[in-house]
Amino acid sequence: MKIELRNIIPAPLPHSVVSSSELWGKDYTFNQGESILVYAPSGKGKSTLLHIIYGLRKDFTGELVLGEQLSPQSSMGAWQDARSHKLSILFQDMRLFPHLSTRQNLALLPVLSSVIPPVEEMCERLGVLALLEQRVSTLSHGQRQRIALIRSLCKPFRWLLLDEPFSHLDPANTELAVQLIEEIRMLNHAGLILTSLQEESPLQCMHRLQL
Amino acid sequence: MSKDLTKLLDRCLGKESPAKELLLASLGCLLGSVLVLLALQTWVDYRSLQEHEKRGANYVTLNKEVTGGILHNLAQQEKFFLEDEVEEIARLPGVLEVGGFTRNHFPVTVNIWPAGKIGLGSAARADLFFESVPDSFLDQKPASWKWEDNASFVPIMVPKFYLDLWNFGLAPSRSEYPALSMETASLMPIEIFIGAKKSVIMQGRFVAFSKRINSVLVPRSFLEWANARFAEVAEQEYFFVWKDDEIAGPPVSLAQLKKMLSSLGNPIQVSALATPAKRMSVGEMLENRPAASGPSRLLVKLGQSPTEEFWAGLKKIGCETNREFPQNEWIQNAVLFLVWGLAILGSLVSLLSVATFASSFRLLVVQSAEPTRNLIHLGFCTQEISGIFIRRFTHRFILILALSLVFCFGTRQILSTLALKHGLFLSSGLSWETWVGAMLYAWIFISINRRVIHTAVRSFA
Repeated sequence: MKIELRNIIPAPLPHSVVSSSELWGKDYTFNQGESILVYAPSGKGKSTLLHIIYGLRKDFTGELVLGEQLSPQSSMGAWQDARSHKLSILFQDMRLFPHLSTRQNLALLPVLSSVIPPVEEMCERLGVLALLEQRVSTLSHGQRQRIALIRSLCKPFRWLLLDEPFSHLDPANTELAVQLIEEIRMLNHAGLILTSLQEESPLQCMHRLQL
Repeated sequence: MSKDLTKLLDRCLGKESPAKELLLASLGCLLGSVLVLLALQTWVDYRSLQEHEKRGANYVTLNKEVTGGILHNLAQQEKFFLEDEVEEIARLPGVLEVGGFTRNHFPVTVNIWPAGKIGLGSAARADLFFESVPDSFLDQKPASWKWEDNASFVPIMVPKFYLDLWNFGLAPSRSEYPALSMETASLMPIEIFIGAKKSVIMQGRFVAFSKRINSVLVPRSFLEWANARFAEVAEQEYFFVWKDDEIAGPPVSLAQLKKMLSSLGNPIQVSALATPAKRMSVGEMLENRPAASGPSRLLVKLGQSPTEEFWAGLKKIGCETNREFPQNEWIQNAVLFLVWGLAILGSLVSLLSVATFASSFRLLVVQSAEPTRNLIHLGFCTQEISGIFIRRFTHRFILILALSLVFCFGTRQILSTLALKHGLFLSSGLSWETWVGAMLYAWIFISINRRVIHTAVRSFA
């Protein structure tokens, strides 16, 4: 499933940001299996880009096509299907359910991927196995980020959208997370769009775009 | 969706609800549904009682009013209904059918043998009369209710209250007469003596006991046959006899007049008791004497309780009825008022509770906006999420409806017990119409709230 961006300009972004961007107002096609790093300082529209691709925002001009026919004009059902089977996202604010336990958060998905290792194994690899029965509200930001990352990997996907996934992780945990992301992405034969504040990323990406 | 995932979704969406609003909506819904269901049940009960009344009670016998003293009535011809009067009665409001009574024109005496065999024990002897009505007016028609030409057996139908009079009036005061069940009474042989000299004897038996017609009935075919064969000229009419331009002595009967005619010859002048000054010869009188025709009594089938217009019509014709009717027109209006009042009030309260429920659940969804939005972003269908809220609403509503039905059932049990004390029988339990009404009510209530909840959830997608 490829992602086509044609002359997309988000409505809230100032003209100066759009004119200096390598992506806004340009045509791009991201092919299945590719990995793209989108980097920029805060306020340039990194999260906005991921939200547009995930179908959460429609306040932009230009054209977005996912696969053969999924676009912002597609039905709610088509987007729900895409979000449960083809797209997975790690939000910057993680959007976990704080009153539920870690295990419950990881189970709360419409569809679980059949190609991934068991949840416990992934938790162990990221050092959060002991937190499975703990309420998310009691966890640190770093722990929550790892849980949210595991949740995004538990879904089946063709594209993985990660919004500053290592912002709360130390280098050791970042390295562990990178390994797990790469492994699960390969199992899904999926593409990756990663946002970052820096041009350099611990994840090796095929393309780099500055917003 | 698995049961575990549904449970997890339920937990995720939280239980915090606008408790006060929901309690208010629940109470409103309870009150509204009780009122609506009670209105429906009351209407059904009222209709059932009305139907019962229609089936069993609205037959009425009419006859011309009899007034005045003996002398006055001796002068009167037999009172009967003219054809025009019968037609006028048939046109009165509520009248479905009019049938005439045919009476016997010959003397009848009967011997009833309570012991079950002629000649055994004492017989109850009585001068009797027979009448017949069209078979469509009979409340029962046993197979033996038929008579063929020249048959010696005559089936007889008497009012049930005759048997009651026998059992509770005559039998206790006369040791030779036993109390009789309907079956035993049906087995009593009856000798029927026809004519003044009892020249013809036939056999009879009570074949049925009518609760509708107060008369001694025999099949019409028998009565027509017997009248044609045994009818006697009315010899009991009385006249003044004139002699030397004066009325001579007391009035004489037609039979006496005929004897006088043969001994004194034609010149005798007579006048009717009603018009004593109008003299005429006996020959003239016999020629001009109007013959009684038409039924003396009428049986009327009414489709509703008699109205004021019906009574006025009867009064105009100068006839009276054999029974009284409760003035239930105002009762009908009162019940209608009560039913409509309950239904309108119940509907209003229900509408209010629908609105309160809808806004409460919309508020509940809004309060759960963040988890709802996050679940949608994770890929859950809006139907799956709204299903959680709808399930919560439905559980609450079913509980309310069940309570309403229990309350209605209890109220009705109390009402039916009270009604029974007043002689009104109501079947036990709630009617099927009430159950269907409850289902319809539930469907409307659930449909509206489903729609509201679903729309609220979709607004986050």
